[in-house]
Amino acid sequence: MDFLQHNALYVVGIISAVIWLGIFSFMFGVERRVRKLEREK
Amino acid sequence: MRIFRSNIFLFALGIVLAVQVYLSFEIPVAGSFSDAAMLSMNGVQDVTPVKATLLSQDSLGAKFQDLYGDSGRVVETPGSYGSYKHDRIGDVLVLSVKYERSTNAFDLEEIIRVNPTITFPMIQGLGELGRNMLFHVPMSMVAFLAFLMGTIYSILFLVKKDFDYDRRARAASAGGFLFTALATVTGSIWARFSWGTFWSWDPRETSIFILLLIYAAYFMLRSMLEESEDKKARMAAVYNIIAFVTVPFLMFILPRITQSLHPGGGGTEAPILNLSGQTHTDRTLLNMYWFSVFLFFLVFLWMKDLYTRVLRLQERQAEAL
Repeated sequence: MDFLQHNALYVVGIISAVIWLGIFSFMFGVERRVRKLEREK
Repeated sequence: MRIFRSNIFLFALGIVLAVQVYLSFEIPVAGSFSDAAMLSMNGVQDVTPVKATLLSQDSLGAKFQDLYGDSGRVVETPGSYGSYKHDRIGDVLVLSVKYERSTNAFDLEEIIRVNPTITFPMIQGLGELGRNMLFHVPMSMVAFLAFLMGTIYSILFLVKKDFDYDRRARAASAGGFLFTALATVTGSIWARFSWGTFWSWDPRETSIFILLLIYAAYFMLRSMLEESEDKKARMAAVYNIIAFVTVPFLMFILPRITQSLHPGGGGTEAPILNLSGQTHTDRTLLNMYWFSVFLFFLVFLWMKDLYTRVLRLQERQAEAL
């Protein structure tokens, strides 16, 4: 608990980075699948 | 847009986005000695970061001057200077200090940064929470731009009868809806720590909620209509144009003419966009703000492009069956 209070800024920063990374990875996955389907068509 | 089909561009976008997140949390927030004294005396904040130049130091402590011209004597706490050498007069430090009324001096808690390249200003009542200005506000701005693009595509569809514009309008409005929802969530978290509650039906909160309902109705309209594709697309385009008429009113006008917890409410000047055309925001924060708007807008354009292509593939598949 003490650790979280003292490093709140970094914890929030890491959570924010992980969320963006998740969104980015998901979109990149969709992008690759769409590209593959577009090539097949 | 072809540019989003390049892996190098997407990789660069990811890197720049990571840099934006890093800088948003890494750049120190620092105020003045007056801020620190006022916040400590009012019991709002015990420890406050201050950006100041080291003027002199002796056995009792050190004398500093902050950027606003206030001087402060900082009493040294054993070990608090760490590895920093005290004799570098003229160095700019970001200090974490606590005001002591009895001695009219500041207790040093920590040296946060030595000669920082840039710092964010300490906004009274926000402090570290002010960093959310680099997420919440740009997301609202991108949502507005997305709805505007959606409307332009709807008009183009009605004029040119090209279904590709309809798909783009749908994708842009979906992006606008997503960014409005993100702005609402980040704003709600901000409100919890600034105003004490996640939701208080502030005029701006109410207007954004109505906006979400208006655009939710757009997607419901599309999926529930049992008309031909052509008629469905035309009705959705007309609805999208009418829906956008409410956007400037709900996003910019209503929250400014009514009393609001948000800055800019009740006739006060908004910090970034206002009628006088002058921003009341620190230059560093403002530059980071526009950088975030640009970056989130690029992410939105990628999302729009991707969704348009998915819709195109879905339609081709439906036609093939």
